[in-house]
Amino acid sequence: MGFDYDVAVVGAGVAGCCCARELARYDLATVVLEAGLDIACGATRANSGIVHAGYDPTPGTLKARYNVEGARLMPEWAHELGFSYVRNGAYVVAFSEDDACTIGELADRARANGVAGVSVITGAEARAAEPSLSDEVVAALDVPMSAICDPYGVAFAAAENAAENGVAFRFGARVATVEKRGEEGKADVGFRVTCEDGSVFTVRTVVNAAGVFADELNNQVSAHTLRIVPRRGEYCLYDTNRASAFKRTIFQPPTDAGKGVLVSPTVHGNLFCGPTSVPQQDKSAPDTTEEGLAYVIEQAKRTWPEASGRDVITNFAGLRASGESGDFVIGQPDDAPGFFNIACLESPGLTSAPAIAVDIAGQVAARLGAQKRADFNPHRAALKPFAQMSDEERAESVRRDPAMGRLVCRCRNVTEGELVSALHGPLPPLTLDALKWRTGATMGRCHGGFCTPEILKIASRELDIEPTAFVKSRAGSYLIASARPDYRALVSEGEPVAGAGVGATAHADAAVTAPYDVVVVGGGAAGMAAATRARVAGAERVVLIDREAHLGGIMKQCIHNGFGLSRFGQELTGPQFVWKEQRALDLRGAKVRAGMSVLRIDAAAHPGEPHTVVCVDDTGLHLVRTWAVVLATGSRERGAGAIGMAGSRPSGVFTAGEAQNLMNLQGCLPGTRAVVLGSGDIGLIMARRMTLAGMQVEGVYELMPTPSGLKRNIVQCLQDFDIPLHLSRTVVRLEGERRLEAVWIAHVDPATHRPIPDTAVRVPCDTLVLSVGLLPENEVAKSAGVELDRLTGGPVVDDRFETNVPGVFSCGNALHIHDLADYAAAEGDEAGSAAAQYVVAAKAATRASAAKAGVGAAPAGSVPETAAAAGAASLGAEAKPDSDRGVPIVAGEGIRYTVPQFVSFAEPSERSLSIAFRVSRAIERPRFSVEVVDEEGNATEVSARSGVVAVPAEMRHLRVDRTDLGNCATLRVSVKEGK
Amino acid sequence: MAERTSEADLRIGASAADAVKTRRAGDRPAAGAAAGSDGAPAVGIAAASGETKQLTCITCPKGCSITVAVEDGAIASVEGAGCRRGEKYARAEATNPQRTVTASLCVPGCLEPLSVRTAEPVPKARMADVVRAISQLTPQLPIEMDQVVCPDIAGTGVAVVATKRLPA
Ligand code: SF4
Repeated sequence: MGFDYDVAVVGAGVAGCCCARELARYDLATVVLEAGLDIACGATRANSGIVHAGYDPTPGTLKARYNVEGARLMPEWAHELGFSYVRNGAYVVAFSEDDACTIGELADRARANGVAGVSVITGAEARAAEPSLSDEVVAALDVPMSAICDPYGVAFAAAENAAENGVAFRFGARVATVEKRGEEGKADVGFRVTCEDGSVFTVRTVVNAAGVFADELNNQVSAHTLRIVPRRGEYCLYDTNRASAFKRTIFQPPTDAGKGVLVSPTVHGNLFCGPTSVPQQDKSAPDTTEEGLAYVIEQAKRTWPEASGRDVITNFAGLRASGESGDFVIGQPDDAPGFFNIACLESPGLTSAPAIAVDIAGQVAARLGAQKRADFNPHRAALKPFAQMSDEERAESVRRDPAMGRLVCRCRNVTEGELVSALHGPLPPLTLDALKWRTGATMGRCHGGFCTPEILKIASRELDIEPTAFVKSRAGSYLIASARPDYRALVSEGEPVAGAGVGATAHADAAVTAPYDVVVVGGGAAGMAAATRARVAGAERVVLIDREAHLGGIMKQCIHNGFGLSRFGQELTGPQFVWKEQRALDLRGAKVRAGMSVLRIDAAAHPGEPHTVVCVDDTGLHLVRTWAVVLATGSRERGAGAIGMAGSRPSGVFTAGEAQNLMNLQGCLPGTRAVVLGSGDIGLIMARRMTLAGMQVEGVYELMPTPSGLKRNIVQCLQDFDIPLHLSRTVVRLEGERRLEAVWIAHVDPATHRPIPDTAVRVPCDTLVLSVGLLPENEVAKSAGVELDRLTGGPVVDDRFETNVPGVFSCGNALHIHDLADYAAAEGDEAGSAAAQYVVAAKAATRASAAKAGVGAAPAGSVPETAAAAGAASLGAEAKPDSDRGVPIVAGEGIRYTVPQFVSFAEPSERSLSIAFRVSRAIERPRFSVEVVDEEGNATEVSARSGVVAVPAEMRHLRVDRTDLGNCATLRVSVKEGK
Repeated sequence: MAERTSEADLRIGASAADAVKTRRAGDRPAAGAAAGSDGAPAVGIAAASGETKQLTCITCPKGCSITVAVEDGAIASVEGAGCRRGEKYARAEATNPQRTVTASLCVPGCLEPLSVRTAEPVPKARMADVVRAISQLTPQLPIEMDQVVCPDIAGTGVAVVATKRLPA
């Protein structure tokens, strides 16, 4: 009868998507109209993700009814649709007697609402189960039925299942008007829905799931007006290393002001705290605010005293659609039959969504006389994420699709194969954010610093679009300003297949080959040097594994000069430096496996066994056995999340290395007008690079009162180009809904390093480049059980660069951040030869003891148990306790850290000991000193040096004569201000 | 460091001799406003002061502060250099400043741009010309490491060489 669709669902949040999925069960033509370019652009995205048990809503309300029913359905849906759902339980904690009364009332409500298993426990009991809980907690409501889920995942799984079952989705379709048409009771009764882009849909029924805009739609067709006051909620998300703080979701007692700030693990293995709850007039996407984020952490401290800004990887804000009545508004207003509200869906809206969807779909079907379809498939064929696969599943997936062996997002282990299948899924992603939310790519520790340039290539190729047309989130949120005209053609031709022809071993037969002597993980400056030196020092079988197609790591994109003076006596560019290292490597005959990613290291379980390096490339999964490992995994850049900048989330924010990659390895220009935050060397280099490439660089802003890059770079990168450097400043706020439009820059108190209120000025720009520090990358080290130093972020090593795991060595930026590539390479030399010496010595000891035992030389690959008796030089021994690692080197007065942290006494006494360190604050006329401290605490100075000035940004070295180390209990490095 | 910490704004002033100026600092609304609001003086690390020039050596990462005294257009003394290379740099910087230019350019048939450098430093005043001239070069695959892609860039007499190998 001239209808385009039977049902138009307005809004693709979790309510709309769940409803679309339930409507797909019926013989109905359904379209979902979404204003944004992805599902879940509104309240769903920035949501706590809690599947509430139902103890909170007032009995008898819609909230109570749908919450309890939704919580019951959620695990069923999770099973059918394949989204993450974890029943982790919750505590509602009480800090006072009053609070204890409140949680007693909640327990009563839980019973009234039919929630099972709820009980009140003491503070001590709560702390016994959750040791991170504050001592102030006097009692808690234990809610074992509480669960967590991924709100985006719920909406996406429902939407994809709906799409698979024939529901149409229109993105970028913001509904402007809904008009009734026809006459109730006649066949032509329905609605005319007009979108802002001019498209018109005639439909029989409308499901109003428009979130904060649901009141406006309702008020167009019904006299029962609604008024939604959006409430802003802000959150802080912590790195996965904080996830162990709590197993359960910890709620604070509800007050008149709301549910309070909660602390909870997420299904992705992070921890978050939030939200704030602030009414706001504006219905557009909310910004985070400095006050809000400070408030969240302050409040979280009540529950979790350790809460701080440390390890916060990002912050986000969402709007909740709060209605005036305090309850949900569900179903048809009596004056607008055929118009179904799912409105005012504030908490517990997510939990309730499946139950509401079932109800509303049933009501729509009843009105339209629709029948259930026999061919509805409630199951979604979700691809298991590579990161969650077993080794066997990984091997099998690579066998089926070689692209599954190419890791693109190294932090979350997302493969090219997963990105490609997401890009061609039933509901293809149209934006980078959509791809990110669906695959997890760019969501890890580096926040896309490494993988965004790679993803741009893949998206351009698979979607056959110009890279400038790929947006971050909304129309206009372009990622790069310009690209070469033939970019699309070149990416379509495809890259050479990485990793091919390197003699990779298939998963099945890996175990039969003899172990390597040394495996070096990471082919940057330090790793290449380590592999070369391992061969020089006598290791026979050495392999260097690197994830990229070409060796060199970050040096490949450092096309500027300034490298190699100390190493090669010649001033080189990054690629030239790599070239020289590559030639040395080839000359020494180390094997190279490029395009291969190390997933983890299984350290030897028993003495006499090798370590196993588990890696993947496009030929399969490989178990590489080796006696020694050198970890040269480099570093990642600190990103925007770590700095806790408030504001919106526009495109145009890059780490310096990401911008460098886009320019120097892909020939793209990130923007036209840039601000650089941080005066690290990469930031200074990029300020010059962008200027020379025709971009306008407004200035470099540094938080600290002193610049952190080398003086030469301040001269040749800033001064030469008249780029101002502003010290004691920082970016406090980003502006721009789509692409970055401006940053707000505040003065910083040099004493506290905190922004001074009311000093912020607006600096217009479309690009913000961050050069705010590097963090050692040690996920692989952690998998091997390597102990890390909290101050360096790298492993704790002895003077042979060996970690606490025997046979596992570390060097370069993975060990501690270096100022110069030359020094990282020099450390690689040391670690590589130490690893080789370790293997050579252990093999000799094994042969000697085997000969003594009369069994002859041990065959390669089977070092007998007797090797363990060979003492210090045994292979694959257990992790060493500190007491076995030699004399500790401690950071004394004015020193932030030292590397190494132990002296092993395994080195010959004629080799002097070199200690690298950084000062903890700027100091004038420093006098550095190394003292030997004996058992009684008597200190004797054994090395000293004076300087003009020392700053934390500059790494220092001191040498100590090993013959001075007799009678030494600890070695102490300190610095004092000189006269 | 004490004096420095009090300066919120360390304006790296370029000496009058610096020819590669794309804009004047005063043209920047942000920088201008910031400098004006706190009244911080512009500090020139390498500002010419009378007969002596304070320079920061850029030859190696140490970054020595070097003082060059110039009398009647000739160099009278060089102090502060940590090595001979630095002294040479300082003499050149005081009379005819030079820089090595690095850049990248797109080569048909290869997504990864070719990285290049000037084989020798070029006069600092010619940097912008050199960058522009490099962007107009059209080398073809394959390209070997150290291959000369232009024997004389922008009339400086200095060659531009590849710092990367791009196979066909
Ligand atoms: S003078 Fe010599 S030591 Fe000092 S920065 Fe220049 S090159 Fe380095």
